[in-house]
Amino acid sequence: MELAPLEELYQARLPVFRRVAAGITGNRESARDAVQEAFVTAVRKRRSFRGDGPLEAWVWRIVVNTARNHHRRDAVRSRAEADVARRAESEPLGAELPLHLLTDRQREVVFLHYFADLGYEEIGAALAIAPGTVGATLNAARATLRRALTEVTA
Amino acid sequence: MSDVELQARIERSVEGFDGERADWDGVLGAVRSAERRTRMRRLAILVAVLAVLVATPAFGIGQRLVDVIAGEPAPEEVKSELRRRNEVPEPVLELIDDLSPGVDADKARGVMSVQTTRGPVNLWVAPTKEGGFCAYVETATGGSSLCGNDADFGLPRPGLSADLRPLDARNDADNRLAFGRIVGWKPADRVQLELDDGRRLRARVARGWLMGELPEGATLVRIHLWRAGAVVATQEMLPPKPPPAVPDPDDYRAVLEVETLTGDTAVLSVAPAPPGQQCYRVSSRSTESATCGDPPFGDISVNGDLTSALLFGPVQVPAASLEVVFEDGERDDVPLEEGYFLYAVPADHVKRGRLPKEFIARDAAGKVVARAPAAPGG
Repeated sequence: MELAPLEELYQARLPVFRRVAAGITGNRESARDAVQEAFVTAVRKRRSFRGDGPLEAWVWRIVVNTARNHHRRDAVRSRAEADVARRAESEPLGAELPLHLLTDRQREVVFLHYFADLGYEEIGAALAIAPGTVGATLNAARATLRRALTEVTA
Repeated sequence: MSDVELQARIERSVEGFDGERADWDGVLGAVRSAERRTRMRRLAILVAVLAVLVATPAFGIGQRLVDVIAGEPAPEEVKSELRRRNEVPEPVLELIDDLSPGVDADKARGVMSVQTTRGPVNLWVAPTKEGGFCAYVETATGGSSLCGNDADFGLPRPGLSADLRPLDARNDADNRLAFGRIVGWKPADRVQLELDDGRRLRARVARGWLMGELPEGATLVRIHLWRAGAVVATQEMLPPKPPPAVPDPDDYRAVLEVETLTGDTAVLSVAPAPPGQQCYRVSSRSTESATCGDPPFGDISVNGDLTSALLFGPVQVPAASLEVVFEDGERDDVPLEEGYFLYAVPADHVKRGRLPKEFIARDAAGKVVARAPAAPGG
């Protein structure tokens, strides 16, 4: 595969990639790093893209995996003393919603659906799950959020 | 709460990134750096193998080991060991695109000595042509060297006022010597080695390098850099990998055999593996490479022993034949048996412009079922 389609995707959808990655990592700076790193991976591994699905879904899969790794790495680092300063500098996300009540999978489905405007098929391809599972996961996430928000406002 | 209201709340939960700068050139630059690092790692592994095979038995300065004085020129024995890092066979240099570390062994200088329970350990460092370094850790029973540069050890971590990247935390033969390089080094009050049982030991630091002995049975989990009474950087160590299942040598069965360009015979053997895993080994006079575990990513996994210009690995798709295409357009059949290939690159194809470029796997009807770049790890 040539570089041009990847560059076009990067230029056209960068804010969306970063926004979804931020939802997964919980940190805007990590999200920027994760997306950049994901595209480095995509460029290096582009010959392994077989073209049997949309390029964007393939890239989403890399972005989601990389963001997950950053999230895990950040969690480990946050236990280290040296990260006190970094935490203070980071930009906390999700204050608007009780996202911590969702599972990692539910959060990913929510962000891919609402921020990236992906359909069930594309989300399924990005997360390597069946489209039906996407729908069920999204419904469960909505129910959890709705219940939590209703309890807060009641 | 209505769906519309919920959607609005979700939309507001993470602010957008519109208007932020895109950095495609940064992506391409990082790709180039990563590929350079990969090549350097391959070379380091290659040269390490050569050093173990060739250098260690000849190294006999243990009895005369004395404390080094920082800055003193390295003795001839050490320079000679470092010089060996540049001695990569010519065909190999062609194959891996001139990746000799180019160490200037004559400029090797002592950095520090550490007293351990097994005698002194000396650290010598020499510069390389690309602004990197080769470090030589000299013990009473031998020594080992590592080459690289600061860029090889990860990207800068935002939020840290100093950056501590271990070059090799357990460099000693039995994993009891912590050895690292402090990148972006500024004078440190002290460096602590944190063990898995919670103990913290003080490491020696000199000229941006650190060394310290680990107690027997202890595992290093973190390294802390202190300045002005506070920890200014912490490096998490990767947990040690569980030992892979090692088949009994008698369990291996030879499936492929080729003659290499150095006149050696290389054999690819397979051994029984747990369900879903695979075990294979490539052995020759100059090297032995055994792999056991999960199948690698990709339809054709390309590994290499560059000392003898060998390419080998598993083919994960049902293929009846495998072909290699060279940069000059020539083609050659690649021996393929039981899902593995072993190919000795001919001498006239270890030259730039004629190197192996791509592997192509076909089914019995001749239909292409997989392609992969012919570079090891590519």
